[in-house]
Amino acid sequence: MKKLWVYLLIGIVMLLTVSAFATYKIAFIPKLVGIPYFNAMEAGGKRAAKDLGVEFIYTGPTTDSVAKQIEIIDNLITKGVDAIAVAPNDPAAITPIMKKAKEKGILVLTSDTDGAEGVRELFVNQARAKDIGYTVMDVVAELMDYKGKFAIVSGGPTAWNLNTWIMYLQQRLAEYPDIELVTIRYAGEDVQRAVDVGLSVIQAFPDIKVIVGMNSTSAPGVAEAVELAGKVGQIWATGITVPSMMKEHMKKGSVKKFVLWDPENLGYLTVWAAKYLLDGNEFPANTPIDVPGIDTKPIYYPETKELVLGPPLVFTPENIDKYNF
Amino acid sequence: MELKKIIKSRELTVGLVMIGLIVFFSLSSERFLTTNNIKNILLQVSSIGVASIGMTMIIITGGIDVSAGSILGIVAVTLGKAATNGFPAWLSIILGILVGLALGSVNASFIALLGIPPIIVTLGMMSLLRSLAYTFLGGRWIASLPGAVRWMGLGKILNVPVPIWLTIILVAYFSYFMRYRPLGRYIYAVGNSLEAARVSGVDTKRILFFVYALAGLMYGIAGAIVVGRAGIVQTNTGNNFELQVIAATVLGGTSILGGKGTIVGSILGSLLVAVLSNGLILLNVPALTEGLIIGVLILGSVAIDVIKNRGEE
Repeated sequence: MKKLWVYLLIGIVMLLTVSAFATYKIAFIPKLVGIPYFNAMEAGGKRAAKDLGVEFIYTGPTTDSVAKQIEIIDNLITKGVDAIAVAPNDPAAITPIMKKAKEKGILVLTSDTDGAEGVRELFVNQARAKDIGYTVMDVVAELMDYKGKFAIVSGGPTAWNLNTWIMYLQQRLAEYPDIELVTIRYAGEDVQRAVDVGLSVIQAFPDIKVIVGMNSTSAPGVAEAVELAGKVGQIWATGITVPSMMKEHMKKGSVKKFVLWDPENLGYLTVWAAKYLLDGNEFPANTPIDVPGIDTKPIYYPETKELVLGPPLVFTPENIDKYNF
Repeated sequence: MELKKIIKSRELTVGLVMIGLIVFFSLSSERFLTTNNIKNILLQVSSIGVASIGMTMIIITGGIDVSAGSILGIVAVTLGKAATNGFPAWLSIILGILVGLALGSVNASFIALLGIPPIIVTLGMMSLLRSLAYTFLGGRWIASLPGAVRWMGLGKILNVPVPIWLTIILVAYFSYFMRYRPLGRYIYAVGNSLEAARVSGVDTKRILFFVYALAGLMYGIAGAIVVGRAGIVQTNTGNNFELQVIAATVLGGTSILGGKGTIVGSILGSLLVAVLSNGLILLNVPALTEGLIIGVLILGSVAIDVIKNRGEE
C-alpha cells in the first residue's frame, strides 16, 4: 500500500514536470507547400517559434487541394496541437473541420486567406484587400504618368482574393479619369500560360502602357511577354508577386515597381498572435501593436477579428536586394 | 486515302472549324492575321504539339498517359538544377530530355513488360513524380536561368523560333513514320486488336514499350521548350499539362477506344484551342466564356466520334 502511494507521488511529480516544460504546439497549414511565398511564411514561423519558445509545425498539401487540406487538419486534431492556423484553399469548405478543432479546445486561426467565418478566432491578414488594390492601382498610375491604358492578367477566375483586389483596384481607378482598363484575362498558376496570354493581350492592345499580373506566376509571365514582344520601354510590367521572380526582369528593364507584403513577417506574426491568444491575452483594438521581431506595427480590428500586418510593400530596384524569398 | 474517308475524317472537321474561326477573327480584328500573332499562336501550340505526338501514339494503342505533366515537371527541374549548378547549357538541355526518355521507359516497363494497365501505372507515376519534383526543389523555384539554357524556347533559326521548327520537323517526321514505317503501322494494329496483332506475329510488347518510351522523349523536348519560354521552373511546372495534351489529341480525332487517329489531327486540335483563346482575347470577349467554348468543342467532337463509330460496327 505504501509502495502504491510512492508510485502515485512519483507519477504526479512527473506529470507536473512534463506540463511545466510542455510548450505550445502551433501548426500552420499553407494552401500548398513548395512555393516560395509559403516557404517565406514558414521561415517567419520558425523564427517566431525560436524567439517565443513554442513548437512550430508546418505541413500542407503539395497541390492546392481542398480535400487534402481538410485531411491534414483532421490529422493535426488527432495528433493534438494547441493552435491551428490555415490559409484555406476554400474559405467555406474548411468550416466544419475547423469547428471540430475548436470543439476539441484548439485555437483556430486563418492566415493569408480568410475562411471558416464565425468559427475562427482570428484572421491574420497580410494587408487589407482595399490597401492592396489601391496600392497596385497607384503604382500603375505612377508608371504611366497618370494617363493611358492598361490591362490585367489574373490567376484563376474564381480566386476570391485576386477578385477582391481587382474590385478595389477598379474602385481606385475611378479617381484617375485619364486611365482606362482595357481587359482582364486569366492565366491560372502557370508562368508559360501567363506569357502566352500576355503576348495575346499586347497583340490585341498595342497601345497599353502597363500590364498587371495579379498573382505570383502571372506577374513574371507578363514581364516575360513584354520582353518577348520587344516592348521594353513602352510597356511596364508590374503586379503582385515575390521579389525573386522579378529581379531578372527588373534588370532587363521591363519591371520598375511591383507590390507585395513581407510573407516572412506574416508567418512570424501568425505564430506570435497564436501564442499571444493561448497565453490568454486580448489584443488592444484599433491601435498599432508592438511586435518585437517584425518591422511593421500590426493593427487589430475587433469587429472583423482580424490582425492586419500593415500596408503593402512596393518593391523597387533600390530595395529589392534586401529580400531573398 | 479515298475521298470518302477524308470527308468522314475528324481532321477535316477540325480543320474546317479552324479555317472558319480564322476567317471570322481576321474579319473582326486586323491584328489577328499578322506575322507576329501567327508566331504567338504557333509558340503557344509548340509544347503541347510536341507532347501530343507521343500521346497520340499511346491513345492509338488504346492506352493513356496521365503522367505527361509530371514527367515534364521533372524534366524542367533537372534542366533547371543542372543549369544553375554549373553544367553547360547544351548538356543541361540534353540531360533534361534524357530524363524524359528514362521516365517514359519506366512507364513502358511497367505497362509493356509487366502488363499493368496504363491508367494505373501513369496515375502512380503522376503522383510520385510530382512529389519528387517538390523534394528536389525543396520548395524553391528556379528563377534566374542563364540565357543559353533557354535556347529551346527563345532561340531562332532563320528568324523562326526554335520551338516552331521543332514542332514542324517532329510532326512531319512522325506523321510519315506512322503512315509508312512498319513500326508505325503496327501501332495501329495493336490498337485495333492486341490479340490479333500478337497472333499475326507482331511483337506487341516491343511496340508498347517503344510508344511509352518515345512519349517520354517527347515530353522531355516539350519540357525544354516550356522552361525556355517561361524562364522559371516552378514546383508545379507541367501541372494539368497532360489534360491539355489529351484534350488536343482527342479533339483532333484520335479515338479514345484506340486504333484510330493521326498526329496531324492532334496538332490541329491544339491549334484550334490556341486560335480560339488568342482570338477571344483579340476580340476582348469576356474571359470566362473561353473555358465554356473549349469544353463544348471537346464534348461535341468526342460525341460525334462515338456516334460515327457506332454506325460502322
